Amino acid sequence: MFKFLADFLPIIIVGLSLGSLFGLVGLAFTVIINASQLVNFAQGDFAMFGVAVCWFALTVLNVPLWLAFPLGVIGAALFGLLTEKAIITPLQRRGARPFTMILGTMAIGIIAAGAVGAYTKFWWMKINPFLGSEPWKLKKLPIDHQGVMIIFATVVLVIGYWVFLNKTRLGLALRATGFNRDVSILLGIQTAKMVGLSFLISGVISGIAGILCAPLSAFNAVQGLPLAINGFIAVILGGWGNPYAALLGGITLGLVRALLTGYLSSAYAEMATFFVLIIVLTLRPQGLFSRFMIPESKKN
Amino acid sequence: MVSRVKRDFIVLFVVLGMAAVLPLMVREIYLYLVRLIGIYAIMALGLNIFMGYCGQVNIGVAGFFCIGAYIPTVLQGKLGWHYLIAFPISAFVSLLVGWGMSWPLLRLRGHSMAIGTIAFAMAVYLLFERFPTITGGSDGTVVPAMTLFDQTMGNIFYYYLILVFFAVAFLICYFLANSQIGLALRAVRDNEEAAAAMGVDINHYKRLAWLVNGVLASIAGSLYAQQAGFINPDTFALSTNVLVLVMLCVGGPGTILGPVVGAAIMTILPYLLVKIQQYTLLMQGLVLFAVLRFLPDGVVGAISKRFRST
Repeated sequence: MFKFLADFLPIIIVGLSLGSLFGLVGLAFTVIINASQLVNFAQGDFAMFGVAVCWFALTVLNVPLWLAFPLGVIGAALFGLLTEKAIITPLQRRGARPFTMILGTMAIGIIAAGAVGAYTKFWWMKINPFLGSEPWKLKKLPIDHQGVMIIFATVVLVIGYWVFLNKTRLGLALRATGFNRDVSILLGIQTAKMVGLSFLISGVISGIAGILCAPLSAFNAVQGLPLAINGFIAVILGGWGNPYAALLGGITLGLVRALLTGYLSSAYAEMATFFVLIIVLTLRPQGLFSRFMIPESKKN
Repeated sequence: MVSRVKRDFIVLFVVLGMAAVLPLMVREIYLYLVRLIGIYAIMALGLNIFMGYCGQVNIGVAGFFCIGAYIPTVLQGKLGWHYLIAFPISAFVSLLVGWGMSWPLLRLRGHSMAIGTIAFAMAVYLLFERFPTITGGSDGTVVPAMTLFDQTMGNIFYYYLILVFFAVAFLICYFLANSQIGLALRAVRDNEEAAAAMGVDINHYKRLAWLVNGVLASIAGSLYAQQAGFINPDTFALSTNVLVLVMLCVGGPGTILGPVVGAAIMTILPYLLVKIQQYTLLMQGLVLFAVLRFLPDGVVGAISKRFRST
């Protein structure tokens, strides 16, 4: 029994923390999708950029972690805002085709990856675990505190996002923009600013997720796009346009991958992701949890 | 119409003739660049049929490129088959894989299709990376040199091989674009519902464009592996997808010369601008950004628009 638990518990923690990373990136995707019906292919690069700023602050500027962490998050948020100003708004004003918008966000991501890569020479940006490298012991079971911290942060972030969206006027304006842009303009909501705000929030969320997970997964400059792909798979797996479903989708994905890695081999885990995606796209294109936590009146 | 076809053919034959006598005059490094341009142009031409003419999104070309590069290599290296047998087999395998993948992928639209095709490319990449006993894994594998009539073929032979395949690919795409099929593809791009109402079989044409795209990318992959002499899976990772997309956008999607011009620009530019490989990605990003922002029709599109207006 102890042997089973000693295997099982770390796998579940890894799965949940990996799933939280994918889920948070999926949530960040959904924030933008809900405000402007856009898919931001630079999403993973927001996280990567946050990690890069944090790493830079830690290793080059030698500032302590409690300062470097917010700096990284601010960096990711500003990068999100810059993306919106530099390419989303100009392309939208021109009435570009969706395929151009996809490439536009990808271009921003490539620029970030190229710039960070040129500085770091595409090496691993190493951030040590926040509470030291020694795991906690719970009755001799080792527990990875970084993983626990990620899970905890995910819960806090989602609750905070829910409160912001449902209990504040700004959140109401954001939801209204996504629901019907023309009517929102009539009601005096500055929809252009709301789109910018959605990029800012999504930068914050992916920045936090990226920096928290950086000690667990070796981040380098080109890791952004694969992360964005996994996050987007979480969105499709969960359900289009529903932030909580995206989170659940990400956690499902993380658990599947961790269980496969733990009990079979890591060779199959990543491949399984794509097969799961193809199967879900074919059999249940609306996603597995598309109705989760969405009030009755909004279903259509 | 006749005069335009005649003009285009004269241009094509002049360019091919110049390329054919090029090995007599210039150094090996330039021949290497021309070989790369030819290979990437084949890939971009196929992508242009699917994205430029049919209006779909494919960010997974590298998947087919990978299949085309690895299957002949493995067949030659492990089974000792001749390249000229293994090469058509890989193209046929790509056709089959593309046909199989067309069921789940072509039902998608826009963003979902983009992510679906990326996922396809990643799955192929992982497939070849994770079985090191067959493919050499992430360390890569040496591609056996091709022999013909008991002689090992050199770079000059590959140069002409690529040239021939480029000419064939260009002619195929030229006729596809200028025929009834091209008209149907453009109808699907501009308005799917209207095209369906006019009796265009949307799924049929999408699948056709997807298969042309896949097979041409696979042929480019086979040629690439053979002329490079060494492949590893990283060659076929996401960067190749991005590179081909950038080429198409720079040249101009939906124009017949666009992919060729784009391939030439994006192959030569890194050699002129940056001597250090670390800056290549940054440069690609900046070029893509600048083109999307200021030159939405690409170089060829902008030039032809200028000529038409004056």
